[in-house]
Amino acid sequence: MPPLDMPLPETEVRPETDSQETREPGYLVVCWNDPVNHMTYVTHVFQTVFGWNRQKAEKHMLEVHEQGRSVLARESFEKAEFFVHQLQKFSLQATLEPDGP
Amino acid sequence: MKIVSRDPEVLVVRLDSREYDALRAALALRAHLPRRPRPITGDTAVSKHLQSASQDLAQALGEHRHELGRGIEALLSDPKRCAPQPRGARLLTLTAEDANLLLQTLNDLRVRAWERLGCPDFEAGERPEVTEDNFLCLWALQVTDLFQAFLLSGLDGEEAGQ
Repeated sequence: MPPLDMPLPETEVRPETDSQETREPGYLVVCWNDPVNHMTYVTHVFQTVFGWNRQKAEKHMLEVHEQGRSVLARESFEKAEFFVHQLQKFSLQATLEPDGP
Repeated sequence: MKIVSRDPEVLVVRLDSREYDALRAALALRAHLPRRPRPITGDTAVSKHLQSASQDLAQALGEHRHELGRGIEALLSDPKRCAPQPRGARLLTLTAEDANLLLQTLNDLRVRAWERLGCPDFEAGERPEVTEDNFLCLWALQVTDLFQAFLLSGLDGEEAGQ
């Protein structure tokens, strides 16, 4: 047995190790403006695809309309891909974009 | 077009014979108008991963469009969901899923017609001149406008402009 006054080895406290979420880069689900899809239709699609209430859906629809695009979600690649598929099935111009540099 | 009844589960609408014929004629146009593929990303440095995802998307959308066509045909051929009425009218009994199927199909047609017209920027006031080559696409845009507005107002619980 070691002597009682023997110092214990130093332990290094590391910050929380990367979770899968932080390891995997985020992807933004972006909806782009176009001249063909009506505002009411876009609002309805956002409610249907994301389960948003009307207020939130309209907020994002207005962003699309006024700013040219709206970031609808930040997700893992698989989930972002799923949302883009759903939005494009409704014929909206939607893409996924890597988040960050 | 008239909303006969609605509740959270089902929307019942009545189309007279002209409206039903117009809907059928418009939907039939889909087969003659191709859709342009849309990218899954605007990121110019497209990795192999994203290239593969773009191909997956194109395939999924192609299959989906075929499903829309089959789904709509099944809907409009089903006497329970599209019930013949006197004088050629139809009573459509639509669940939320049926209504979204119709909305997606109408919008798919709408975008196809718009692309065939050369993607005019309506918001900027562009109005294509009517020609023998494009009048059907212009007509399709008008018809899909009307049906979409009506369906959305029905789903929202508002009365469409009648």
